[in-house]
Amino acid sequence: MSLTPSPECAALVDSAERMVRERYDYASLRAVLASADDDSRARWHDFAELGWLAVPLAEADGGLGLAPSVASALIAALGPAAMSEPLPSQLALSGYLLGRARPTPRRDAVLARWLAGDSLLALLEPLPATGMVMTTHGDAVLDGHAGAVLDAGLADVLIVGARQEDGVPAYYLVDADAEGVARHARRGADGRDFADVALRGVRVGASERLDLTAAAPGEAQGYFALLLASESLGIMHALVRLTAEHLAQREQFGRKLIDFQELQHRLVDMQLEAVRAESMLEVARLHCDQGGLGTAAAMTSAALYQAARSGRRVAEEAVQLHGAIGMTDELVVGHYLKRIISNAIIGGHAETHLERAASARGISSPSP
Amino acid sequence: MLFEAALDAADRAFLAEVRAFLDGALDASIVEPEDALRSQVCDHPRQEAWIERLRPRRWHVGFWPVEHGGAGLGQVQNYLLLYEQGRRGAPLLSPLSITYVGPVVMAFGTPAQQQALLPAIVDGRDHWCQGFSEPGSGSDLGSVSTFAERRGDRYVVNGSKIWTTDAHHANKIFCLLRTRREQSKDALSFLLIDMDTPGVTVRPIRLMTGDHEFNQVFFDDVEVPAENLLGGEGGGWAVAKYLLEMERGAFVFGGRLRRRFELLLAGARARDDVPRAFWHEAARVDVELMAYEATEFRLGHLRAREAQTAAEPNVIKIGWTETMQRIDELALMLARVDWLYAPEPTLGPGKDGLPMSSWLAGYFNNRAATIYGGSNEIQRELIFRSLRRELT
Repeated sequence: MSLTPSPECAALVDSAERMVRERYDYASLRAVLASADDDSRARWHDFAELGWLAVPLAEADGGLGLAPSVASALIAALGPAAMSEPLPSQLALSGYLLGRARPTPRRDAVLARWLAGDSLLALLEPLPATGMVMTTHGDAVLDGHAGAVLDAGLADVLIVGARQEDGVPAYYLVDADAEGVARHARRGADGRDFADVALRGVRVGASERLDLTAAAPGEAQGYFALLLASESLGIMHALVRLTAEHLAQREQFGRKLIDFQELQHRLVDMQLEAVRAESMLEVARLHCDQGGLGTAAAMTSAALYQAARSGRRVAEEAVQLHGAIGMTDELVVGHYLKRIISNAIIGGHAETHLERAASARGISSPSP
Repeated sequence: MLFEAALDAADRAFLAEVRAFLDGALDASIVEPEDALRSQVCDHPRQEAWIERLRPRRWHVGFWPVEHGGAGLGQVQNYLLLYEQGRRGAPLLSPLSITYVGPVVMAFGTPAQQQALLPAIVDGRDHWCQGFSEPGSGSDLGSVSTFAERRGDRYVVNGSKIWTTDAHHANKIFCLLRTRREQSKDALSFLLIDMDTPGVTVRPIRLMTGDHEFNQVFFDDVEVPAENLLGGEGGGWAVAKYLLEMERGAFVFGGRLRRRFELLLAGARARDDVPRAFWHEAARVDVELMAYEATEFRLGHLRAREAQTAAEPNVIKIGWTETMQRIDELALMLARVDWLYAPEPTLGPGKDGLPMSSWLAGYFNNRAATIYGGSNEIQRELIFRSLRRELT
């Protein structure tokens, strides 16, 4: 047996590494993050041409039909870019989820534009507290409000999860500029786009409804967890390398920092955390590929938790070992810490994922 | 085993064979009882009984090549065999003869040494112990001072070895010692000594739990035939280094640690006074343990030797020892007053130390894990060297 990536996977990873090397540096990213105009859409056509958007889609939808482990390897390779383009969420919560819906003319048209890099989507989950409320059956009217929806400021089309009167969720495609849709977009501390979304009397018909299995949204969330853990792993590797380079270059007390044994061992502990996160991620990748995202849910949750815990330790140590410069916005290290923290929150909190994994694995008190 | 879904047909068939064998052979008379958790050193009658059952398939020396009497298992199948045994509570076989001496004799022994020494291990006639550390040389093995002076066709050995696990059971000891006075790695040699040679004495040393696992061994004018040298005079450092790499990398602890963790959870479920914090912590340890199991397999047994960066054995040694201590610390969250003196559970097989809960004794005894086999600080040193080469 072997865990060696397939040739398609290796080619995608190669294209990602080249993209990071040639097109992403922290100075440009910083300029993007500082500007009011969002240019995170500018590179989507490149992503489409490189085949990245096709990874989670079936061949019948024009995709490559590749396994979750391939998307995971791609996102891990892109991790060091810590880019503002929201690739993990677009692959998992937009492309993959829409791909899971039964074909209809509307679904196919939206998916084709997304696959070409022409449009972005955002998913509004039907949360009990802030969720959309359906007011009629059949031709329906959507009313409600959702706070801090990832990618909703950038999106052209919203996938709106609404709770019907019987409590069962239904999912609709709604144009982001449709009448009755209001969005208030903000950039998050880690450079990602979020928006508060309000829908007032938005009319949708049966043709806008997505025909999804009950399991599909949860599986898309598992996919998202896998990709967030992957991005954090890519960042961890970058942080270990940056910190080693910094220690090798900086001198204090007449010695290179890297010659202090205390600092050597702390660098090793950073590496050991990255190994731990990578190992857990490998398990999750395998379980997703072999058993499907549904049965792998405990493992994707465990991988997200471990990436959050190890990632925090690695990034905190990287800041510490860089010293004051590590605190500034002039160095990518701080941006990486913010991204690691964000990745532990936006796909469901890492501690919630841990609880989910533990209860699926029977690690809980027997008494209620 | 976490990577079961990725096994190819041959490995899957082998795993099924191992499981079927264990279903029949690993009965209650063999399985290590919960009391045995106080120590990583399994009682000898139980080890012997298990070896008898493994011997027909040569699975007690599973990874040894067939020409030396082993089963010739590849890395993955050897892993599966050891993981499943650990997972189901098979006795941990002492690595001293099988994992340490065997491979170095294969790598460095003359044909005559191989013919004399290897069958005696396979057949269970020889039981080895390791003479590395000395009172003045712990992590710094290059500084050993036990001296072997050449006199004609013999060496005369004087000095002392310490922390010698199983010296009270072994009939042979392998020693890293000095054959020249100067402080150079070329002055070190690797000498094989019969424990019943006149001048060899063993003093028991008790652990803080009262358990007797290791000893001090004294050599007073001990005469050893010169042909007992392994790797030639002055070749001792290369042999010891090879052996230490085996020591750090050849173990499979994932299954054993998983069993330890599950026994702990079973004990917690049977009680009504377990704090909620225990379950929260157990959830974290579970994921860490999975990550360790995956690391052990991925870096130690799956990755081709040529793709390794050389630090893998060190990463694994830190991994299993620190994960084991995490489980022991989790066990302490369940401690009650009677754990301090507990007449029940009993001391466990082959143990004559202080009566206390086996979990508590395990916590104490396992503090040794991050010290032996090269302390974890030494392991970090070695990982650092490899990282530095790779990254700067």
